[in-house]
Amino acid sequence: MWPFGRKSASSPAPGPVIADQLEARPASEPPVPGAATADNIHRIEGTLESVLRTDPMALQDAIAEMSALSGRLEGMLVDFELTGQLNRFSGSVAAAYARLNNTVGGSPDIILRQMTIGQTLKWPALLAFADGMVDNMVLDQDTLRMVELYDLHAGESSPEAIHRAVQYSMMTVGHVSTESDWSKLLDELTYGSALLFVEGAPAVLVLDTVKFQARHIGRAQSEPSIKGPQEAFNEILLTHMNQLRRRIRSSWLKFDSMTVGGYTKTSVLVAHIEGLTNPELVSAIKRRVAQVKVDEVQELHQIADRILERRSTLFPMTRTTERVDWVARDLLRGKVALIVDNDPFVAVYPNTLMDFYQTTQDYVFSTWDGTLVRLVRLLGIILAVYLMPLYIALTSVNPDLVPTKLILTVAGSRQGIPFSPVMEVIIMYIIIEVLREAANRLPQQLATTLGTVGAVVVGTAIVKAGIVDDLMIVIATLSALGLFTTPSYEMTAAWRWLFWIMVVGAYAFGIFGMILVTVGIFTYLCSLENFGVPFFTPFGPTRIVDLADSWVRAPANWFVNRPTYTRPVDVSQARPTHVRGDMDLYQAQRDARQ
Amino acid sequence: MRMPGRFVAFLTGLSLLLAGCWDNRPIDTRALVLMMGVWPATGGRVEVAMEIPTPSGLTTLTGGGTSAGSQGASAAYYVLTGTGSNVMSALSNAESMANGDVYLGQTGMVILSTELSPQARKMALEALARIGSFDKTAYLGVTESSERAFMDFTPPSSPLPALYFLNVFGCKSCMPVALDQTVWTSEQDRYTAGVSLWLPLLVPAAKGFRINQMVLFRDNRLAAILSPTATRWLGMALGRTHKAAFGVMTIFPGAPVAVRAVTAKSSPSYRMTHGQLHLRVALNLVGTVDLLPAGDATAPTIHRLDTALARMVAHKVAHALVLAQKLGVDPVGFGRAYLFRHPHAGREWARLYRKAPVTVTVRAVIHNLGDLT
Repeated sequence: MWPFGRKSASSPAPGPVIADQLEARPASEPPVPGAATADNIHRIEGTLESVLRTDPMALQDAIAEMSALSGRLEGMLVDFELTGQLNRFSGSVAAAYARLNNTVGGSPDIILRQMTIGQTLKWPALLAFADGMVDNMVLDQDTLRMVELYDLHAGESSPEAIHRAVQYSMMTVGHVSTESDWSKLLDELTYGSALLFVEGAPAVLVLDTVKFQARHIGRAQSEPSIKGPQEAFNEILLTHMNQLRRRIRSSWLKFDSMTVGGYTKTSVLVAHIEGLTNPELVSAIKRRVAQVKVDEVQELHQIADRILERRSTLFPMTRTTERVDWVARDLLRGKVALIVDNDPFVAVYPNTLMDFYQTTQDYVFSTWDGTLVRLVRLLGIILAVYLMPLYIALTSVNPDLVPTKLILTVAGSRQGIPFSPVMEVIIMYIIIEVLREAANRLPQQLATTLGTVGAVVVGTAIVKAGIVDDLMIVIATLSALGLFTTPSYEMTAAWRWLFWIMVVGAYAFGIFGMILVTVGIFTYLCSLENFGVPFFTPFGPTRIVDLADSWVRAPANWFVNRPTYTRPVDVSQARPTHVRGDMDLYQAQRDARQ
Repeated sequence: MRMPGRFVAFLTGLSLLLAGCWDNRPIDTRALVLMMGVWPATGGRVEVAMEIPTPSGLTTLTGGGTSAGSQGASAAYYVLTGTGSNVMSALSNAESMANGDVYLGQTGMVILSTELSPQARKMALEALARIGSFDKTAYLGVTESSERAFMDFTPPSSPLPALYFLNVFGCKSCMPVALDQTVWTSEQDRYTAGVSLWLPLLVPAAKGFRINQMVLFRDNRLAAILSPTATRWLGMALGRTHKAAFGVMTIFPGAPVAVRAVTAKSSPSYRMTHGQLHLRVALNLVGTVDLLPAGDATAPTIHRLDTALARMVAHKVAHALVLAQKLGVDPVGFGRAYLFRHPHAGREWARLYRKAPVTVTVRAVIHNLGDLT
């Protein structure tokens, strides 16, 4: 587009306007506004080219832009003359056509169809819709066919009467509303609604014909679970709501709708359960979302990153999930969900460190299994963050702390290795990071192959090449696997950064340095807050009740109350179940006898 | 108080600069001293010998194989020696010949020659205490062998002699009498009034090192080298018996009964009565009888066996204590307990100790019957 390119130097191609089907245009029909001006502009174009020593292509761009602007202005002038406002539809279908054709009509997916209403009266009308975003079946059968075939009565010749008849008698579309404001009309058009302009009627019928091309509801890829629900969100906001409603069939489940994005006008929902969730939390989130002023919102984090108190924290403050069951669970624990259109991930607030280490699977199996897997995850963090630095500290700074037999083994395995332990660690970690990123970018099938290649081929080759020792391969593998035990991907980044800090501490100060960095990590964790909730709770500050669902997972009947850190209005979530064993069995048998 | 970020960054950078991390050397580039010994040299000098594993020896160890020791083609270790007027200078001389940074932090065994003069022995022990990087948990022992005979001897069960000692002394319940002494505990004994230093005697033998004798010291002077038998009884008074075996002759004449796996707990104490010091050791023995004649495995027989065992042990332990008393050494540490309550009675302690009657009470229990595996 001028002045940035020459490809569109010619005048903008008009939208795929379907041929006029009017058999006889009414005598009172005004000429198409802007047509005469465009002709005049084209006529003087040749003259200008010869007179002015300018680039004719640039000139053509300018002429095309001017032509479109002229058409838009003339349409606006007609509306202004009839209504006194520039932004209001006047009832002139011709003006509406000019205005639409010169604003969105240049886009091939915007369809403007001039038509008539009724078999006998043939009242002029204009139908506008975005191709591909509407349900063609609804549009063809429930709108066009009904409008064209409907036989208007003699008494329905006034525009208002025709408009009323179309809205209440002809349309079989589920939801029909009226709107006159042009800015809202354009928003509705680009959202997938069909607009029906009736000549003479100042209100435009907005037909809910939206039907997006949607991805099917699949399994949660990023948070798999062996058992339990597998359902994941897709990109469609309506589906998000449906999925959550199916799980929480309570009228108290509320979706507060907002729009964010100057151009994208993305729908954002703040989901919560009224009467359960702390209203201050809901209000705070809504207020912060409303303050987000950006041109585009393509995905959740463009909003989520802007509504936090501290936006550059090392640890993630936003827990995102694609699991429907997890969002439903969090809502019922007194949290608030932030749902953004076009993103299959949903953010929940507020979050603590433990929220990133809890999964559905923890609750599907027994308390012993749940506790065990969580302890394994804790061990995974320790391995990922400490193992390699410990190797550096013990082989370079504090070898006196290692048992003699072990140090002999380490020293023996390092014979002939040209690099120091710290260099070995750097090399191996870079390889791990490269493999991780490559695996993320590749399709699932290739990623598996890459993992095998990385683990076996590269690992074996690098030892044979004498770059790192055998022990380092074991340590690197354990470290990498330890990081993969973290269920939430966003949390791994924090530990990966802390790993490097730990390496520096270990290399500079040995074990003492590692302890210093550990103290620093705990201090930092204690300083973080998330919507007023301490990030390190229930450990700091200590919440004894919440410890039951931390690194240990207590039996289900322990969870009588909701977590204290969400400060819910409705604290209790269950009553203890008293199973009477033999007494219940006796009662059942007695009932059966009777 | 909120510290500015720049100040924190400055502190971090400064501490990193001052950490001296660029001086860190990986373990494989250091000469790991696993065993160190001090012997007398000519002209009143001392000789320090250090056992250091070779790269090929380390690789062999990693692979789980064995090596022929320093004498073989692929020696698992080499011995670095240096002489000097004292241990520190001898150590420096030896270090100058090493092809790497000599690292004493992994020293597992320290040997002192019985031939060292009291002054040299004292200086050697003080030097060990002063070396900062030296691991104080290293085991300490004495030997009558020469430096060459001792350091070049490789026990067949271990490619590295130091590992042999680490295995032996590391498992206290594996020895009849645990004679492990570390540099740390010997320092305690040396600097604590009222207790005499004792060390195990290490003798190279065909199958390894023979460690069944105790060497008693009196003020850094070698007081006596106890026989294996005396060592066993004195070790019992010290509470270091974990797996002893005795033959009780008095129950069935002509048919000794073997009592094995005897564990002894010792509770030494003293008592002052009318200005007279009484020394007392209460022993609690638990053991197993291998085999009794048919029909004799009855409670009265076991009881008689308990009594006979207690009487025999009490007699022998008392005899060993009296022997130590005559030598003027107090390895059990009666004096430490006495001087704790009478800190100004240091001079009279020696006199009181020599004249103190010794009583040993033994409670023996045979708690098991049958063959041991």
